[in-house]
Order: sequence, then C-alpha cells, then structure tokens
Amino acid sequence: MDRYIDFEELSIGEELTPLIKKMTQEKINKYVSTAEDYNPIHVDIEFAKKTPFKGTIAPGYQYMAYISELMARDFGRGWYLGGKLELRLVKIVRPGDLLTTRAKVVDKKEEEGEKIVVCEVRVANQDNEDVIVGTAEARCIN
Amino acid sequence: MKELLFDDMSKGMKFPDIVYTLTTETIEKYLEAIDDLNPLYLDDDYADKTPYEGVIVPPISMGIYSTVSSVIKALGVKTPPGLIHAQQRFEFTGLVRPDDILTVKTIVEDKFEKKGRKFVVLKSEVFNQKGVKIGTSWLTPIWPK
Repeated sequence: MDRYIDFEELSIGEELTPLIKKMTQEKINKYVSTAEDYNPIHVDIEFAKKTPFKGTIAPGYQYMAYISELMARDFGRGWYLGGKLELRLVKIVRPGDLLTTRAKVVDKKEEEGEKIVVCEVRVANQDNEDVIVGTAEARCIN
Repeated sequence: MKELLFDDMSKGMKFPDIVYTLTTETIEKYLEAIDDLNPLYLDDDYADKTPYEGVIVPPISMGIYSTVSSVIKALGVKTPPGLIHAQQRFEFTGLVRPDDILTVKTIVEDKFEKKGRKFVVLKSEVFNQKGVKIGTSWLTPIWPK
C-alpha cells in the first residue's frame, strides 16, 4: 500500500521528490474562509492594491502545509507522530506563483533507539527565489 | 478592540484556553485550499484499512485555529497592525481526527529585543478531548509596538 522511505537506503545529500503546486486566489479565499485569522491583505483585492504589497498575498500557513505534505508522503507515521518543523518565511507568495517544495537529507541519526532523518526544506517560486526556508525532522518507523 | 502591546506581555504570561472543534466541513475546505487530496484524509473506506484505522487530519492544520490573532483574541484584545511572522516551529505528537475538540494552551515563552525589533515567542500546546497532546507550536512574531 503506502511505501515510505527506508532509513538504511537514504543517503546524506539525497533530495526527496519535490512537490509542485500553483497558488491561486481561489485557493487563498478557501484557506482564509477556514482559518481563524482574517486579514484583508489575503482576500480584498482593492484593499491589497493600496498596500506596499500592491496586491493580495497568500497566508504563510497555507504553503507551509506543502512541506508537511511532502514529509507525510515519505515518512507517514514518523511524521504524524514525532515530526518537527522549524521555518522562516522569507518572501511573499502571490496568486499565480508556481511553488516547488524541496527537502534534502542533511543528517541521519539514532537517538534512544529511534531512527531520525533531518532534512533541509525550502519552498521556492518560479524565479527560484526561496519563500520558506527551514528544517524538518522525522522518525523512520514504518 | 484594544491593541495588545509588547509591554503588556511578560515572560510566562498565560493566555485563556481556546477550544476549537475541527469539523469535516472545515477540513474539506482546508484540504482543497492546500491542494492535498490524500485519501487518508478524505476517504473513510480507504483510511479504515490503513494502520491509522480511520481518517486523520494533517497535523499542520494547527494553522487554522492556533494563530497569533486567535490566541490574542481570547484575551479580548487584538494585535497592532503590521505584525510580521519571523519564525515558526512545530512538533507533532498525536494523531488528529475529524470532529476532535481541541484545546489550545498558550504562554509567552520568551520576549526580547534584537536590533531594535521586538520579538515574542508564543508557545501553544494543543490537546484533544482525551487529553492527548497532539502538537506544540512556537510562533515568533515581530511585534509592531
């Protein structure tokens, strides 16, 4: 059924399969309608035009989720139960941006009998500018 | 609503608990918004046959209900305009299920000034209705004033 990453077969420097997604205003509107954090900069086009951003921007949490999706895909339970994520938002995301989420293995370690994989993670836009940088850590338990 | 200023917060200060029910309707919209249509999150028949024994919710969905503004709102105040999200950290420790009733407990873990900027570290622990800690977030906004 699900095939997760094998700790022994993973090597330092290895790139996990990237995820590519397009941000749209429709997805932003949908996200904002679920979140307990209303800000007109995300959804009010006329308002957003008058700000220094000159247009709407996506909520950070919306595309942080892409990193979690990639880690869940490859580590399953070892992400849901034991995942650690540390991120910095470094650039805004606009509707229409094409975002590529990447994870590169930077460390493998065994702590108290647990096999742990540490990845450097980043989300970049179509101009190859980072919008999120950080690290993600998962257990290999599948 | 009155604004909560940097000087109004002190290290160790507790915010009132937030109680939030993660409904199937919200989850479905959320999954469309983040473009993640994993059957483990959406399809009961599929999920029942996995080791998870039923549908789960992606843990990063904490971002729906455990935000700087939702935490601050619980005090009856709001953040001043211009807040910047500098850094965020998460640990996921328990499975989240649809219709879970989640309690968010938040404290000011730290506050400091660096290069003229005011940083606040808000630590939120999220527990489900069984008292299991499903995750923790540390949100570090730069407070505008």
